[in-house]
Amino acid sequence: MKNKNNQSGLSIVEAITAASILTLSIIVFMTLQSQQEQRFTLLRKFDKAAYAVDLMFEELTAVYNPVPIQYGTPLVNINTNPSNQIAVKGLTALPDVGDQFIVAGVAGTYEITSRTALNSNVSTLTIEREDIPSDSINKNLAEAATANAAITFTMNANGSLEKYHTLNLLKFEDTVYQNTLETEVRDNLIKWGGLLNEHLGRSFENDKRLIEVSDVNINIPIDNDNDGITDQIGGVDQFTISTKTQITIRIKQDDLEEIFRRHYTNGS
Amino acid sequence: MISRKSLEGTTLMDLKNNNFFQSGFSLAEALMAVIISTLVMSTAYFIYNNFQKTFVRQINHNVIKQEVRFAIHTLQRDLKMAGYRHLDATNNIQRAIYLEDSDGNEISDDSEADTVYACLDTLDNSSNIVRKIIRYELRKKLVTDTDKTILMKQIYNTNNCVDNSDSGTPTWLPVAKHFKKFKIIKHSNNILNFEIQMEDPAGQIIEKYNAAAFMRNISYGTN
Repeated sequence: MKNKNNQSGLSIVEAITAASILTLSIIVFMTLQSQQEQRFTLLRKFDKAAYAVDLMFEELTAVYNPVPIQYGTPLVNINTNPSNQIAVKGLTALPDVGDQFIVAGVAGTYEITSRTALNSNVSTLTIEREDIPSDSINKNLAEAATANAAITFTMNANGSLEKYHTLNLLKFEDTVYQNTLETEVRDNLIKWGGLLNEHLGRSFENDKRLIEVSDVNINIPIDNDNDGITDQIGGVDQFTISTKTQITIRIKQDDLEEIFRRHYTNGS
Repeated sequence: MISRKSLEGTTLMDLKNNNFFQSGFSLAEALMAVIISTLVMSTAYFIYNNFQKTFVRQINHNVIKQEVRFAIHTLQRDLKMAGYRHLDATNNIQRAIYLEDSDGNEISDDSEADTVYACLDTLDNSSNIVRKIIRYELRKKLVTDTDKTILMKQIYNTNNCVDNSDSGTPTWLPVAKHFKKFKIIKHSNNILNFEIQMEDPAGQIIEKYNAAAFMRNISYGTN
């Protein structure tokens, strides 16, 4: 007869092994779950940071295209027939070459190619019409400008982004670093650095939040006949080179690094 | 009761084959088995539930991501054009951008506003220049709702960038939902900042987003 002494069940070793395997499996699952959660949280942070970066690019556009300086109250000095020159009075400072303006009652936008020194708040500007194709023969004033017609500067040639080169957004609370910067740059450092900090959380060693500014040459296909196909000479595609200011924003958090870039056309 | 007579001629093997000695689990064994099973099942459920929650949270998060992406895209596309005057338009843009609070009071630069009005020129289907106002604000989904959670916009014709020149009240068009907060701040450099808070359908995730729109036309002075 079989009695209870023959019942073997689990030995202590077997039981411990089974429990260990179970515990290990649970630990593995929990670790995977936790890692997935961390990854998900980091991606959520980057997602929001991407919008903050877009905000920075947009605000840099405002720096690059500032509210134009009007140099006083510029008016047409005397009745002026269509030509490539116009005398402007009411200037408190000399406009820059490359500045653009419009004249009340005259069609078009005009760019300054040279100018005379200020004499009793008057300067004679040499101009080219800017809003017509660059190979147009006549780039003079489109029509006669009357004396005292208002002149409005629509764009200044300044607005360089170079001052933002190597701006370290991690140092947005570092007053020593802040004091090395221009007021405008410092204000933006505090705003943008704070924004990234809010979205990404505090930074750790080797993290990066950096702005870089550089010039890049871009090959732009030529399509003079507007047929949607790049023009060719002797079977070779034709390109024109355009220099653009490139802003790169690098964000590194934990082991994840994202690089955001935007181009700004020079002189615009 | 088994009688001795009934067992006569029965071998031990016969008894064993008929499960005569089967005793089943003892109470301790059964309890142990139940406890271990409960532990294993609870752990499995806990893990499953966690995965399930993460999965649902990711879906809900994607929902608000999608809504906010569209909202910001639409806001930027419309508001960047504030102050755009068509080259052939007779009048300048009278009031390119206007912000007000929820009580209808005008909001000055660098302060939070609830509603934004942008005025710009557009072309209709017959290529006529039409001056329009685009208005954005948070509104309630239903009249009975307590919270404003839907970003809506109105588009209507205007002659002076202030009044509606259409007959009748312009329709409110829904842009995006799941909003918790929407504030607009205008700065003197013609930047509009948007502060947005989104809440997922389950009410578990609240995400904050910041975006901006540079109003080029006002900056260029072409309005």
